[in-house]
Amino acid sequence: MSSVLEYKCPNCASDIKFDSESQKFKCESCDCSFSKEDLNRIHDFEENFGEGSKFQWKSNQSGAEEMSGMNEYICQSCAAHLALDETTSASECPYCGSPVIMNGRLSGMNAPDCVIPFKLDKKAAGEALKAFCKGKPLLPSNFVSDNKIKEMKGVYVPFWLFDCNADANIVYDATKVRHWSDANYNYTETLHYNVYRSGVVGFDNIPVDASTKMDDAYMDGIEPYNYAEMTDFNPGYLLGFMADKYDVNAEDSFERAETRVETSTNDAFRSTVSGYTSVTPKNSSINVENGKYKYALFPVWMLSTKYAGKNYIFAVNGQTGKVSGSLPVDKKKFWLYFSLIAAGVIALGQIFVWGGWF
Amino acid sequence: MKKFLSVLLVSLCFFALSPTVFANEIYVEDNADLFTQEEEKVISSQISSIREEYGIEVLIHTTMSIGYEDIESYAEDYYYSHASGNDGLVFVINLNNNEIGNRDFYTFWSDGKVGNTFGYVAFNSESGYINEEILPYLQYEDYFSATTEYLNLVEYSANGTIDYEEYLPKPNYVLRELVVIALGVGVGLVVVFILKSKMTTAVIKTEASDYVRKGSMKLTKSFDVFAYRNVIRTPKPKANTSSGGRIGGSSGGSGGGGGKF
Repeated sequence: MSSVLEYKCPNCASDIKFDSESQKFKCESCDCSFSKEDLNRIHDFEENFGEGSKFQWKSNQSGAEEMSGMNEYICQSCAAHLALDETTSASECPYCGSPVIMNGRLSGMNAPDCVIPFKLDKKAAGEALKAFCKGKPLLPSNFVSDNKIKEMKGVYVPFWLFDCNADANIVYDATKVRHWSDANYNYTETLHYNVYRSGVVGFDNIPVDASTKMDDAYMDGIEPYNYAEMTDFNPGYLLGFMADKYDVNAEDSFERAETRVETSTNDAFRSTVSGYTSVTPKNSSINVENGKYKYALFPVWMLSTKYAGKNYIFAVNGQTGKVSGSLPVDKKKFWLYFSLIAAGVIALGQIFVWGGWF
Repeated sequence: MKKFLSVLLVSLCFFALSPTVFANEIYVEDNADLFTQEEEKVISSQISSIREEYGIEVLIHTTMSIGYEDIESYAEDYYYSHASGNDGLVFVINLNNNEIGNRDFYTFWSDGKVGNTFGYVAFNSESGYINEEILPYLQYEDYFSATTEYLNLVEYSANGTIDYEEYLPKPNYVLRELVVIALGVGVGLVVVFILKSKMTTAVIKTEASDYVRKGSMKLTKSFDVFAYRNVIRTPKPKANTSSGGRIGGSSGGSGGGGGKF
């Protein structure tokens, strides 16, 4: 005779009963069975789930004093606010290329906590763009030769940098699949496992672009920066360069930072699950407590070029020379390459068709 | 002497009434009683000749009924339970309790010479050469002629007297060319779109792997619990599948084909 104790199945949440014959807890709904030790461990694990993922951030800014001795330039076309020292002037907007820029006294721009100084000069940035154009078979032949860099501006772009420890509890549904056959049937055996992982992973200085004028994709494209060269802010670093004024609050940047933390935390914990045919996240809870953020300026060369009557904007990482942007595609080359490759495959196919291999 | 003659007579009767046996193997099992003793001897002799000349093991089996089993499985099971090797065929005639129009004839061939050479073109029920040739004899219920003709044609097939080239399915070159063109266009498009994607490096990032603090990853709990086991059993596909016109494997391997009369 079996004695009965009441529990919930960790797999399907149905009632689960102790079966004294097998000395295990059995679920009549999904036919799973668990030992007492497993149920205790699962119960302890699930207590940490709470109500899903939680993120808490607090400012780690050292000071909020305003920058002095700077002029503010406002683009009449795209409304970008740029700060320049009194010795530097702006002839056109580095973002949209508009020449109509109004200047006035800077107000309401807080000093950043840290800065990565420019390492590449204008010439090196131009060389980086040329190198970026190499090895691109679809690039118009005369793009590099006819391409005149219309304007090249060194801009300090505002970023929010986020530090955190992500505390994760993740349950995966994992399977091991085995196939075999006998004379009459093929068999597929699937063993289902619940895989439990808890732990912590830390992140430092996840950058989120704090300027609406700067396309996030362009800024993500020139990551990463070398943080070993990041230093406390000093207005002297801005001499000869423009500095963009942030217009995205840290609070409005939380979502992007959290998305990146969640994705990489899931990836990090997924890498600890091995030996299975398939692994699917079933339940996950990621909590960030005492997350911190600070304000930084990063160096970017903005290159504006004109080709075939159309403007092309490129961003060059002012520290590493990594380029981000979209090069034009030569339609004739596109279809030429397509025709050559298709014709080559079709010609090769003839050998197989008429040689009797296909 | 009288006693000796009696023993000899009884022995001869025993061998005459029993199925024809060669080298401990039954070549003809006439359970439907379609052949006379003499006819069975002729058939067995033909079978022996084919076996010796071409190394093909031929079995002839007649039955009044196969119950609820399908003729394909019945023939296959019969072959593997009666054949001594794995290179031959069995010709089955099922009278199906003499239900005219619902009687079966069927050939199952094993992997080997028959499967690799003429099995499909000879016994494919839709255009199988041998099947078409013997069908009229079966319809006239001339089972002996049907069987001897069957064996003659198997022999002619084995020695190449019958040229099956014209019966072989012709390659569909139009379809093959279309597949090659589609493949060429597909590969061409994939390559140029990969090249095009490299023209743009401005892409939003959704991960932060560059910013994971070194050595910060710590697992505090890590355990795997077995939940349940699931086994799916699916029948293996049979060598032949069509109804009425049963068709076996196209070339090589085992297969079968036959029809109704």
